[in-house]
Amino acid sequence: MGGDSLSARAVVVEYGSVPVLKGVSIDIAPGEFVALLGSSGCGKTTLLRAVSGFVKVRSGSIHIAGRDVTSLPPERRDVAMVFQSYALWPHMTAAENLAYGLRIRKIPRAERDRRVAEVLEMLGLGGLGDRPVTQLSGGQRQRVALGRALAVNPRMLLLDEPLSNLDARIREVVRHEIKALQTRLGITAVHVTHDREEAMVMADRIAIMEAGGIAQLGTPEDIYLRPRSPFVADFMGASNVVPLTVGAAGDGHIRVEPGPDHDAAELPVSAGTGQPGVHLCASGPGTVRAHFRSEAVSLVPFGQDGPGGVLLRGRIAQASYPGGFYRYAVEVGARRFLVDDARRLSVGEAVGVAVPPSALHLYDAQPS
Amino acid sequence: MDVSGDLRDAARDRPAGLHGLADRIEERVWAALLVLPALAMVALFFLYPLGFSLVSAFQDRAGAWTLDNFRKSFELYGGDMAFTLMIACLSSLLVAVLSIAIGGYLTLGENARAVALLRWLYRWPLFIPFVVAAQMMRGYLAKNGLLNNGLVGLGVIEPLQAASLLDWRGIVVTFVWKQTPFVALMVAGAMASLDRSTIEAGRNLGAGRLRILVEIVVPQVRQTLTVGLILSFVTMLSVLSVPMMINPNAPTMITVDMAYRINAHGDYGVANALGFVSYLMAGTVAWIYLRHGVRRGAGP
Repeated sequence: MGGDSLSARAVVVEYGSVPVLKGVSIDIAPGEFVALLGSSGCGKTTLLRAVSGFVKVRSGSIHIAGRDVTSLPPERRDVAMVFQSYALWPHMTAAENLAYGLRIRKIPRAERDRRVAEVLEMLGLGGLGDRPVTQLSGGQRQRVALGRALAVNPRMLLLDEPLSNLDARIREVVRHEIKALQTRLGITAVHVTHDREEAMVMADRIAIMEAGGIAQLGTPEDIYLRPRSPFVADFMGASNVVPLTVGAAGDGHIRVEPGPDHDAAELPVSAGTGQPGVHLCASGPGTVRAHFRSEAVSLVPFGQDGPGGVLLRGRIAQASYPGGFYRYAVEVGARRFLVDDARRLSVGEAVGVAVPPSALHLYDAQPS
Repeated sequence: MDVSGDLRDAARDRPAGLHGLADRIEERVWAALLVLPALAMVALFFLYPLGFSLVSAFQDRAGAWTLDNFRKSFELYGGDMAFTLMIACLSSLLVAVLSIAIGGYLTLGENARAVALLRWLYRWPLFIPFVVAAQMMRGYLAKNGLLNNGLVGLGVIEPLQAASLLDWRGIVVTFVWKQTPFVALMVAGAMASLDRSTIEAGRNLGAGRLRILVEIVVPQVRQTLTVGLILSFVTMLSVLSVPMMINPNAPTMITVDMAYRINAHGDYGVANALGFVSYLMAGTVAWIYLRHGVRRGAGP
């Protein structure tokens, strides 16, 4: 079936005088699955709606398969969208919902019926075609919504948080189903979500959106291991922050100067995605913001050396058990970090937080 | 409340088996007392006059039972009954088309200024009484009225071709002008509360706006549209001023005939028989609606 390319150039969208997209550019290759990931109000849904034609673009351009669609109405853009609320038509049966796009395309009845049966079968909805959609479960409605978009053999699929109304277990199943279908059919897909894991599992590339712009665009590993800014690091889970003073040590290493809660250390710098060492985004020596993930560090008994990296001295302030491991809030100076560890420790105990070099992401303290 | 407390205390003193029964009786007494004023109003001002006029449709002046009133009604006014039904049906149909068009434009229109203007304009006739509307239409639709003068002025028709529209067409135009805003208000409200993404989903699949209106929006507001049309149909059946002022000559609507029987002849029997026919028309429509509503409610 194949997919279309999508190219957005400096797209600006304003609601009244409030800018929602501030010049977004993105290129998506045919057959690629791209997730637009961000928190509420970052503009991810607006970007999707600009592509589908439901919001007017103030300036900039949008091309689908090389065709300028910037000023085309939604009905002439030939993209298929799956809505967050499913947007099924309650006065029609599941099969009628699926057939609607085919009817508009004037597909003969026999062909239409065959295609609807095929889609019902493909989505595991066999036998439910004659049911009014109001009598289907949430998961079934979601499939009908997806099927309605797929029935017209689209070359581009736009997904607006289609899984957010499903309960957690079904969501995981449907996630993989959608990804498998998209890969099999070779359609280009743009998926809006605020769920990090969903984006990581489904997408070939992820665009992290922040305040109407794209903060970083890359593969899931790239974004996870080498977040380009403190915002992306924070959004991707590296939300523990500690200020460090660093200096160059030469030969692919940096030197961490001693501080009130840690000793000096010399750490290797990572050369690229997947390479061990510190992810260095700071521009030069001086004070930097160091981000790290709770699950990437470990606790060592007070006074013992860690496995290498930076060892922060602190005290356990709070403990909880989310399942499988313990989660501790460790006080280091005036800061608190969340650290996961398999051992059971008691509140008030002095511990060391061992942060290995590969867990550290360093940024300029005052981002320019 | 004190009385209720005392009763409850009394109930508590009784043997166990009687408690439930006493409570139930007490509840019913209170329920009856609460509903009594409203019930009395309905009985006094609605059920009694309605019953009285129904009964007297089947009585002669001496009070004996007879079907003469109906025989006479059908002999004299059979044509007017058909005329009334035709006017009410045709007007309802036009009201439906126009209110869907107005609601549709308010919901799907993309020119914000035109939508705002229409939203402001379309409700005006709601605030104009039927009698004033009828008077306005007399000036507008008469042989030398505003409409014909305008058409002659524009060169669309010759002065000799100008004809009065003050017949059945005048009544229909007035009813439609007066009732469309009411139904449009209800329909536009229902359309505005639809999940907008159901409309967007249609456009996304390639449907134009007219198609969306007919296939996606109207089916979802059908219930509201039906209620609005029924209320409007019943209103049109009962209006006297419009047919009286625009087209008082035969054939006319039965409200005019009823007024004539009473004012000119003091003939309450035939007037009530005509009233009964008008109940039948309204009742049939209500019955069709209820049957439809119940079937929908029961679900397949």
